[in-house]
Amino acid sequence: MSVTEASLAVETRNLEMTYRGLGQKSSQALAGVSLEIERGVIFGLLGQNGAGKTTLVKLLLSLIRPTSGTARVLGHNPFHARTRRRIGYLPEQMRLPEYMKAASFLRYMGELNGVDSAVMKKRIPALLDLVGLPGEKKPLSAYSKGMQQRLGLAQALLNEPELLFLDEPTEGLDPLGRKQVRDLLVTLKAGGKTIFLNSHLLSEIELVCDRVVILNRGAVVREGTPAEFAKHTGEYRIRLSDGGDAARAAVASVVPGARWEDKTVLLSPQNRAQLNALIDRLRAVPVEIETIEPVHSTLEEYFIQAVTGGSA
Amino acid sequence: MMGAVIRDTLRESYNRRIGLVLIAFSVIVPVILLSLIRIEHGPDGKLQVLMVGFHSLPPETFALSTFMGLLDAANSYWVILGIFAVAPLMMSFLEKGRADLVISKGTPRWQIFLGRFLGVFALFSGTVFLMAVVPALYLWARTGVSIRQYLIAVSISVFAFSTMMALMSVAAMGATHPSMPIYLAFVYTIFSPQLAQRKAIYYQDIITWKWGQWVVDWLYRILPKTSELALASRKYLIAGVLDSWWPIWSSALFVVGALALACWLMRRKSF
Repeated sequence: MSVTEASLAVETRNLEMTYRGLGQKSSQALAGVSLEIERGVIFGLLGQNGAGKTTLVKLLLSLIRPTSGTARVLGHNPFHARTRRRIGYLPEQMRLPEYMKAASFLRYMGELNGVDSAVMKKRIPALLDLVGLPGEKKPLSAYSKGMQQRLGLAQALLNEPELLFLDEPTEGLDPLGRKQVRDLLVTLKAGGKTIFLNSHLLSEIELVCDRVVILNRGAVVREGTPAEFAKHTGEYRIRLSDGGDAARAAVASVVPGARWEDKTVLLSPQNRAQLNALIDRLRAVPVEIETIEPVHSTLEEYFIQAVTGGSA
Repeated sequence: MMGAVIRDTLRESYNRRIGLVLIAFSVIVPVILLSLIRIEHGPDGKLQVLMVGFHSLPPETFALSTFMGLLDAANSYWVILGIFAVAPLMMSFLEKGRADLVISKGTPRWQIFLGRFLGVFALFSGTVFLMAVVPALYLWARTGVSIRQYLIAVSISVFAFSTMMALMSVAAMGATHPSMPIYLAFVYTIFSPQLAQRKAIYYQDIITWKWGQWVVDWLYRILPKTSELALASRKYLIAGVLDSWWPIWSSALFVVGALALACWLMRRKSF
């Protein structure tokens, strides 16, 4: 089914970006990236350092201009200020104005996004509460990395954006803070917001994202859902009560090439019938079978395969 | 939204040491000056201004010498302090990590740039007002001495600095550190009087070829006439007339052109 423009939060066509510096070798950060992100989803962008993730986010926010190709955000050119008022952004590297306090900083960010001052009066305390900085009066120069990150998240939400770009949102947060952010993302999604999540924490992406794209050397190398990535590898892990010679001989006679770790064997039967034959053979030894579990690839394994060129 | 940027620029200036120095001096100078003078009636019943350690003077004579001193300070020391205060403020919002926050918001880039420019201009002109205009208003209120010529002379002086700021703002768009606009401003402070006197200084012996003179003539026409504006402000204070409007309108054209160029560069800039 073709996706109509109105239902797309982000759309890029052959987006290319080459950095050229005076007297420096040019370097290609993006090599023809075409993406379609539907509204109301949590989209995860994965890639190694230097894969082009931040460049892509900056292009979508019009912080930089593409060498070629087009980008549309919420159906419009992101260079238009009116489009950006509907977007929230938490940058990876944030430099907060040290001379401000949390509320004055949020007010300034809101003013830049054209948020009404009466609205801000109500929303700022609520947002500070939401991100875990209630009634914070310290100057921003005294903020820890985690506090800065929480405030960064609050400023990204201040204009009630339809589309939220979050670049490493849990950076510097403790495990509880990370969980709070994940819960917040799910709540925002339930409220109809689209979230573009750029993170190197694969477990985070796996837990919250509806769709994941893996970038490698500026190009999209894999695209799918976390469930598709975590598919069955064809292997089974069987834990036995005894890993002695008799058991090993029984396994080798039915499924050759199994790998043993103490009483656990990892094997790849050709089909379910061969697996059942192995179970019968083991019982006949007799060896007690404690557990049998299919082995699924993790997003991490999938990611490593994708960026090193292996098949998924 | 431009108002928010202006307010942020002023707020930042109070928190930067050099901005604070500018503000502190602009308060200290008039406080010291006014604490050193006494205005009283002389034996002949006329008002006299007595400065500690000096003879008493008629208000008009005292006012002229004081205004001349304040105007010279505004045209020299204040410009130097101003350059150091202005350059970091014109570039701090372009710093990595901060630009991402500001530029990604729904305010057009040209408004962010102009807001910064106007904020910095408000800081400079505000401190000049405190330093040079407040004592004048005090003298006028106490003695009735005319300050009209002085106020116009101070305005010309502030305008001269704004032309320098326009030049610095273009440099700031291409620079990575505030030192570049600072260098440029200082180089131009030296270069400007030489351009004004180019025929006497260079055309006799150094730049004798025609096209070279043509290039320098055009540089003079295009670039702001900061030294001539400083001279014009001094002359206006003394005589109440301008010899020529040329330095004013050509510098005003430069400011408009430079700001338009800086806005365009800001629009094209990658962050």
